[in-house]
Amino acid sequence: MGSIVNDRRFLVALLVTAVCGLMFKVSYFQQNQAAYLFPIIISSLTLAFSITSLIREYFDLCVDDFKAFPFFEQVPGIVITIVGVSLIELIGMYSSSFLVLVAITTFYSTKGSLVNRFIKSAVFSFLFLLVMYLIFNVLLNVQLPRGLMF
Amino acid sequence: MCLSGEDVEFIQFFGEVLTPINLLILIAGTIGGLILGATPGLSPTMAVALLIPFTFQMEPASSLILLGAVYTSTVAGGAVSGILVNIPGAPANIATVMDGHPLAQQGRATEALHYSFISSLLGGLVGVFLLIFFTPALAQLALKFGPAELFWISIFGITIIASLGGGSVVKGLIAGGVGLWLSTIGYNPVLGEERFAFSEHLAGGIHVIAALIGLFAIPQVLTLLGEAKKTGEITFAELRNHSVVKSFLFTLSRVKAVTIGTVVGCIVGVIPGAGGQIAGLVAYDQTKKFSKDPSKFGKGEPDGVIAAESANNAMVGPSLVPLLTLGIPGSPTAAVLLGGLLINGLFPGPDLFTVHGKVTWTFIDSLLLGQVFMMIFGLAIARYSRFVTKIPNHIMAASVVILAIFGTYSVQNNISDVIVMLVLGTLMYYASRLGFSAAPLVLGLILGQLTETNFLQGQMIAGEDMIGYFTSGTINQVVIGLCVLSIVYSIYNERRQISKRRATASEA
Repeated sequence: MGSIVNDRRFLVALLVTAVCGLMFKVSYFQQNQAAYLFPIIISSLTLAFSITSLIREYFDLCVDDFKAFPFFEQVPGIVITIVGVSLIELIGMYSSSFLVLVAITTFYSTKGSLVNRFIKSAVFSFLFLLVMYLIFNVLLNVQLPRGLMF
Repeated sequence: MCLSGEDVEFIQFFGEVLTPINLLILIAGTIGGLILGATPGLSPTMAVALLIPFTFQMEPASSLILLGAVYTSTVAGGAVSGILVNIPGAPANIATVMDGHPLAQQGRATEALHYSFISSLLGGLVGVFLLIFFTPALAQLALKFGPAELFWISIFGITIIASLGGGSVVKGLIAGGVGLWLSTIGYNPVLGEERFAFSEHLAGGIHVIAALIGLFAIPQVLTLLGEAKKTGEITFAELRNHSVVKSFLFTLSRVKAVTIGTVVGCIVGVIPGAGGQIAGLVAYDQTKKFSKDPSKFGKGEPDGVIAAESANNAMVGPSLVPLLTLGIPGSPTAAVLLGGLLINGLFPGPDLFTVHGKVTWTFIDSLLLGQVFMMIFGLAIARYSRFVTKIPNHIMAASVVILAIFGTYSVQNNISDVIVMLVLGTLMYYASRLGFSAAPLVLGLILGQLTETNFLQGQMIAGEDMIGYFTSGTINQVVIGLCVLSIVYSIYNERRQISKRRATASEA
C-alpha cells in the first residue's frame, strides 16, 4: 500500500467486494432457500474470490492491469444514447435512432463548421436508417415501436 | 488410413450448403465478415454477437452458416487493416502486423495480403478437417456424462476462460461468478420460483443475446467515442500489382511457417478459452525461434505473416470441437456462437450429430467452403479495403450503437432488453478498464442455466451424499483436477509477472 495507484486498486477491490457481498446478501436472505441454493453457492464463492482479491491488493500482490478511460469524452455519447432510448416508445424507434445518430455524429465530428457537420450527419443518418428499415421491416419483418412519429 | 462411413458423413451434406439460399448467405457472410474484420475497432466477437438477432427468422442451418462465415472471415479480414495501416482489425491479427506492416512499408503490401489470405486458407482447412474428424468421436464420449460431469464441465469452461483470458485469474473468476449469478435472475429452472426481479426490466431474467450484444458491442462503442476527437492522419501503404500464383507458390514453399502456424493454431483452438490472439502470437514466436535468421522478424519477414495467419485461422475449426461436444467454447467468439446454437434449440453433445446431424454437418461443411470463399473474396476485395479503414470512429460508434439497439429490441420486441444491454455493456466497459474480462462473464451467463439445471438434477440424484456424488468417478475427478490445474497455473504465471515487474522496478 502507499502509492496512489495501489490505493486506487484497493478501492476498486473494496467496491467489487461490496458488490459481491450484496449479491450474497440478496441470495442468502430469502424465505425459500431451496430455490436460491445455486445463487447462494455462486455468490459465496464470488465473495470469497473478491475478498482474496482485496487481500492481494492490500499486500500489492497483483499485476497492475488498470487502463485509463476518457470518461468525460464518453459522457455526451452515453447521455445522447440514454435520451434516445427513453424516447423510443414515445416517438418511435426510427425517429429516436435518427436523433441519436445525428447528435452523436455531429457532436463528435471534428471537421467543418457546425452547420456542415449537421447536414452531413443528417444525410448519413437518413441513409443508414433507410438500410435498417429495409433489413428489419421489409426483409426480417420485425415490428419496431412506432410511437407518435415513426 | 481407412476412412469409415461415419468419417465421411460430412460429404453427404455438402448439397445443403450449395442450395441457392445457403450459398448466398455464405457468400454474403464471408464478404461482410471480411469487411467487418478489416474495419479497425470491430472485433469478430462483436460482429457475431451483433449478427445473432438477424438470424432469428432464418432456418437453423442458414443462421449457423452466416455466423460461421462471419467468424471465419472476420479473423482473416483483420489482417488487412493490420498490414495496410498498422492497426490490427482484431486481437487475433496482432502478430500479423509485426511483419505485415513492415512488408507494406517496403512496397510489398499486396504480397503481404496474398500471403495472409493464402496461409489463412491453408491453416483454416486443416482446422476444419480436425473439427470434422474429431468432433463426432468426442461427442460420443459426452454420452457418458451425467449431471455431475456436465456441471463440472461447465465450471471447467468458466475456470479456464477466466484463467487463460490474460490478466488476474481472481478477477476472471469473479467475472465468471458474476456471470453465473446474473444467469439466475428470472426463474429457478426446477422449482419455477421467480428470483431477483428487482425491477420490471429484469422480470423473466437477462436474455443471453441482449447480454452478448451489450457486453461485446457497447465497450467497443465507448472505446470508439473516447478516441473520436483524436485527429491524426492514417498513412496507407501503397498497393502494387503482384501475381497471386507466385504468392501461392511462395506460401506453399514456406512449409515450416505454415506447419508451425497450423499446428499451433489447432492446439490453441482445442484449448478452451485460448482464442486467436494467443494462437497468432505463439505461432509467430515459435516460427521465429525455428528460423535460420530470427533477426529478419519484425522487419518484413513473410514467414511472420504466414505463421500468424495460418495459426489464427487454423484455430477457428478446433475452437468449435469442445464447443460442439461439451459446450465449452474454444474462444470468446465461439462463446457467442454457443449463444447462437442455444437460440436455435441446438444443445452441444452427441445429439448434434444424430438428431440434428443435418444442421450440424451443413454448418461444418459451410466452414470448409467458407475458407475457400474467404481466400477468393479476400484477395479480390483487399485492394478496396482502404475505404473501411477510413471510416471515422464517431460514425462507427453511432452505427454500432444503433445496430445494437435494433438487434437487441428485435430479440423479444422488448425495450427492457435494450436497457439491460446498455447497462451491462457500459458497466462492462469500465470493468474492463479495471482489469475484468468480458469472456468469463459471458460464458457464466450462457452456461448458467445449464449449470444450475445439472447441479439441481445431481442434487436430486445424490440425496444425502451430495459431495460424494459430485466428486466420485474418473471423469469428475479429472475435470476437477483440470479446474484446479488451470487456476494454479494462472496464479503461478501471475506471480512470475509480479516478480518481473518488481525486478524491473528495483533495477530502475
